[in-house]
Amino acid sequence: MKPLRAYFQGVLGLWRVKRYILGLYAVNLMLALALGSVVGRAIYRSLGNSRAAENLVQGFDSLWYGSFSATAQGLARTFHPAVVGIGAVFENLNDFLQGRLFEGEGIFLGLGLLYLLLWTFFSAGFISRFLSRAQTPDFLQAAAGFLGRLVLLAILAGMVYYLLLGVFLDFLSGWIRGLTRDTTDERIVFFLTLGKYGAVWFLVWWVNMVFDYSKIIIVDRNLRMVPLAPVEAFGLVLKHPLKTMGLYYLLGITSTLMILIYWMVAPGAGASSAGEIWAAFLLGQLYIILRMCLRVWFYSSQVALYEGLYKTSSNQSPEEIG
Amino acid sequence: MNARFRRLLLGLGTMGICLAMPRASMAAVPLSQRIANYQMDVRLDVAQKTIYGREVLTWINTTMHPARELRFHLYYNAWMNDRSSWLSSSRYFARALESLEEGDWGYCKVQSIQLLREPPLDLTAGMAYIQPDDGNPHDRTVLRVPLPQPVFPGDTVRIAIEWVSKVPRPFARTGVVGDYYFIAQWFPKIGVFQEDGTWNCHQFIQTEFFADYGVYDVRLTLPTGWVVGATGREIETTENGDGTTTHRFYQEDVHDFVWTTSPHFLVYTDRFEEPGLPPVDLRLLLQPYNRGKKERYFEATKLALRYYGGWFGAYPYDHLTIVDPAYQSRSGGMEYPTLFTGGSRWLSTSRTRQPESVTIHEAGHQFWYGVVGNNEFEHAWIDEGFNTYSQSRVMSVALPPPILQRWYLEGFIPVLFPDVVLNERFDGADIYDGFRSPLKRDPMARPSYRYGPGSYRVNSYNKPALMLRTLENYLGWDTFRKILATFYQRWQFNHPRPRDFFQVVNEISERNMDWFFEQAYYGSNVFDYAVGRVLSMPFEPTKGLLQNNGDFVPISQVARDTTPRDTAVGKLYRNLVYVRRWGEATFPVEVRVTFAGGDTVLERWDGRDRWVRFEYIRPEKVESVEVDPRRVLVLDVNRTNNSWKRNAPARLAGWKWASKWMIWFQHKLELMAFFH
Ligand SMILES: [Zn+2]
Repeated sequence: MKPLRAYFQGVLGLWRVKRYILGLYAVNLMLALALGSVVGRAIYRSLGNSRAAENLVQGFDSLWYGSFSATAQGLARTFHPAVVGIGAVFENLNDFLQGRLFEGEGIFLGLGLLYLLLWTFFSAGFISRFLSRAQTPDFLQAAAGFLGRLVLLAILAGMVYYLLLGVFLDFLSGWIRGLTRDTTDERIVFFLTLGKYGAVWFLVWWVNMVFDYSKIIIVDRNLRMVPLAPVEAFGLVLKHPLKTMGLYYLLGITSTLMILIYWMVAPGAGASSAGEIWAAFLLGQLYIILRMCLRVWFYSSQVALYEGLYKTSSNQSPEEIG
Repeated sequence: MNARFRRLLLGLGTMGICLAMPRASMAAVPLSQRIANYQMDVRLDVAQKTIYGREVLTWINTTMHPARELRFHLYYNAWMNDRSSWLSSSRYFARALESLEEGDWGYCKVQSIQLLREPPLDLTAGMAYIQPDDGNPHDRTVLRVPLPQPVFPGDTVRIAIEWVSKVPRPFARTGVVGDYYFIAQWFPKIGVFQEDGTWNCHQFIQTEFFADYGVYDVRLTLPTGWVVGATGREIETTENGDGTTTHRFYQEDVHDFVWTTSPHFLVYTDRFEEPGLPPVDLRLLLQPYNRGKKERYFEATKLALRYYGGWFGAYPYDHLTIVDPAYQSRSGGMEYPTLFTGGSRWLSTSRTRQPESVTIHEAGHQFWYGVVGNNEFEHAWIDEGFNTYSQSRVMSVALPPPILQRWYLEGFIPVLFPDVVLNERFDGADIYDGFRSPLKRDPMARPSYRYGPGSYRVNSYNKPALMLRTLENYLGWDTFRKILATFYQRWQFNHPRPRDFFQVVNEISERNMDWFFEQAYYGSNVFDYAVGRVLSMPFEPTKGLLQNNGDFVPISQVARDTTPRDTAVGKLYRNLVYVRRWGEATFPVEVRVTFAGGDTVLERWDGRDRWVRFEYIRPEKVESVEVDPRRVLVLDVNRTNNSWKRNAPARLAGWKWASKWMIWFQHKLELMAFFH
């Protein structure tokens, strides 16, 4: 099986799980609506009958923002004009890459973990759907059946991510700081910084891929010994590095393309009529849905590749492991 | 003392300082009083990161009082250890000190100090560190040197000092990183002897500086091949044959001397030429990675020279050096006589206003700081505030409006948000909540070196810029420009105090503005005017009794048209507009009331009471109200409450921005899901 074939086969698979993707999206949207209404009310209250409201509809009002942010409480404190347009992506991507995504408001951490749990729950369902020889055809049954094992796997993965993005990234940062202590050329520090993130994220993505295959192995073989799965997946990835990474990066490039397209089309602060505001919102929702599809696409394609690889190269019958 | 230095002293001793100066560069008429004049011979040892210096100070007592001692600043001792007043003050955090290595500390050690007369008298034994501001015995930034006899009014004294300055890793604005040296506040520098016969020689705690004008003639011996920039013009270059070159810089009528050297600078020159203003030779020392910003540095410098020159008065020197500071050197964004540092990130585009903003600001300091030399220890707001105001004015005239920019990935990569337009710095104080405003932390009138935490910045930059902008709006630009030009020309090469400025304001505007300075400068009350309630009530038929021919009768028994009010029923509205003063400070404001048909009424209120009510009986309802519609009082701490509009689209605004916040939050969740 070639990565490109798995890639396209994967996208076709999405249609089979559209209900569940939409279900996940609905949860995502509900959380956003609940929290967004708090932020919206805070903005609304701070405006009253002020003309600043007109400015905010037409564009932005930095004088208003000054007084708003100085008095904002709770969630309203997280409001910043940089959430507009591509900022919604970049602000988070910046935290993501620097390993700081879970910092900030406690409620974000709590909801984030809950959301992670939900994805963990759904992932077994997705995988079982994509596996052609799955024993548990029912989505939710598979999801429930594997939840405990996948949570354990997620905890294992979380520890590795922490080592990479917490410990290793910090170590590299300190190392570069020392190395460039007397460097007066910004470019050197910039490229070293890029290299640092490149190295760390190469590993993070690699680990992410190994854990994706671990989940597939657990679901495919109904594996009980969770820690064996990453070992097995590690072997698989090592055996087929070009194919597994080729597919992973193909999907990664797709993600990057999505960001670039959204960057081009995402409306800025200027959208002022109710229609334009709604259009901007819906476009944002489309982007979020597509991102969620992409996340499932990873599973779909990786399952396809996994099955393809086992058909051709594994002499071990999956059923024997049990 | 080596032979060369002895020769220099001997020569000076017999001829007097003026003869030792190059004739060609002497101005026909001195621009300043030339109170503190330095001849220096300095050698930089790059292996030791140490400066070995000798200076002859020629100092004139221009006051009516005898000077019985001399006081010197030794600024580099602020970096000697963490007990100095500068490093122990709260603004420098322990975390920043953690990464320091032994060789990173700096100091300025005076090795000998002599009174030059026949025979020379050694004063070294009598010198002592003093701490006039905070009594911190560990602070060694002020040196007192008692004199055997006083320097009487009008007398000149010549002092020879030998010193060593260990160059620190930059804490603030000066030091060495790699082979980039930026050397400021580096030599024993005499304080200012004031009219009242006392020394103004503050410790180095949190402010910038203060010194008298004079002539600097400085020989810098540096590694051959290194590029050097300094205050003044280079008038002589001598290769010493030992791998070093001596650069002689000379500058008259300045109050400081700074220099920088590095083997990596790219050097460019340009010339500022503008009808009505004298030309200025520009020299730019650029970091190689900022090669592409050459024109932007030059253009921004020219903007400052053109606008400041046209508005206030010409730049009086014929040259100016622009230094693009090295990465992580902490030397950017600082002004020195005839030289300043800009600052720019490698990837900054023109819409980031980097380096434009900082370049205009620091070039602008050549006027407010360089030419008008206020005491920055005590009145930092004069140069910083005037300059922030003037810089913002130039930028609002000459550059596109500021937009939101975010710097991602540890601040290396800028992303611009072109339709999130921000206000210029002098266009409103609404970055503060009226009740907790940093504007209340200290009055501007408190000496700058005694400003509390967080108030140095707001009182030196933001508030004075807003105060000046308010004055401009109130008095009109023509009058205010005249005020600034008069102040600039009257106080050039001198040390104005705040009251000198207030006096010029009153004189030129022909109004007494003391009431304003009393509040904005001497006080810490904030201005906050707001629209209170707005009511538009249709007239109802009168209810109750009316007195008719002496009897109180129910109104229904009286013919309706006998009550004038009732003729208005169904035709007129009673509109009530309440305008409030939430702040303690007062200022006359205009109130613009707009009616449904588009008619407007402009009211004037002296702003003294807590509230005022305007009443309008009209066929239309009030559509909108705006307090201070021309935005005169930019010191108003809450602009949002200055306006009222019927059916203001607050709900739509809330939805618009909350919907964007939601996408941001949804994306955050999505990225978190990566780790599932
Ligand atoms: Zn400044």
